[in-house]
Amino acid sequence: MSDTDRRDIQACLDGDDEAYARLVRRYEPQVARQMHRFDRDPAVREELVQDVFVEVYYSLEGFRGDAPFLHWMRRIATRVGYRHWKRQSRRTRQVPLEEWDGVAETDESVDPAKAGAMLHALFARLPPKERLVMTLLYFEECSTAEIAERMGWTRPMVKMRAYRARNKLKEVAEREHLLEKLGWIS
Amino acid sequence: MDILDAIKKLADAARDETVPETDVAAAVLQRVQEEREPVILPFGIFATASAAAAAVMLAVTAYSWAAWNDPLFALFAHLRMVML
Repeated sequence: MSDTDRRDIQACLDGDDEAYARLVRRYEPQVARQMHRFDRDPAVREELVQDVFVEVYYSLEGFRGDAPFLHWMRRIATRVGYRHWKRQSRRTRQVPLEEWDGVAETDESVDPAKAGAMLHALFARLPPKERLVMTLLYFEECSTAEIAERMGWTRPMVKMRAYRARNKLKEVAEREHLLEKLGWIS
Repeated sequence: MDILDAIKKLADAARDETVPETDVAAAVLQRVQEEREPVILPFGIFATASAAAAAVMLAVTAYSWAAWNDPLFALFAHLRMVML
């Protein structure tokens, strides 16, 4: 952990709100980027980023400082995002995959924003636990050990969820002829 | 192409996505301060109300103490006269 972070965290624990504002500004881009994987709506994402920093503020006393501050914050952010999905899944909100037809216009390179939107829509077909495993595996390139550590799950549990998720995605792909829609990627 | 290969390629591309900037520092501090205040405010109101109630009770007690009388005094007053 950097000295700047250590100083600001200590100042914050001593009641200096401005020190916390500095921490927020320092790590906001990384957290915003992470929360973008949980919801692509800008207003919701901003709300999630706020939730993360509010939760970080109240958990600050428990931060031991043996890992980088960002690493510790990412764990909280993952849980905030996961809770958001659990709430959302009760309302069964899904992005229709038919909208994917429109992205085939880019033949040579894949537009990052469209690719992100497509993956988001595809993973949204999964239950929250499996969706989280796939998001962390593919978007954030986390290992199964890292996912297990972030979520407090066991590693075999993470592997099992990844296995189930991949099978379900294969079923979705077959049922909805996704490979035809995604053929331009290859 | 396997769907998992397609997912891998999409994820590789999506990692380069530019995420619009946010500025939540002020909102976060406001929320933290708001969540801090409700704990203190009702406690302050409760303490003030308790102090006011205690002051009223003290005034009533002082008045009652001054006007205190034995309820049986009127009953035994006659007997005392007889005894005398």
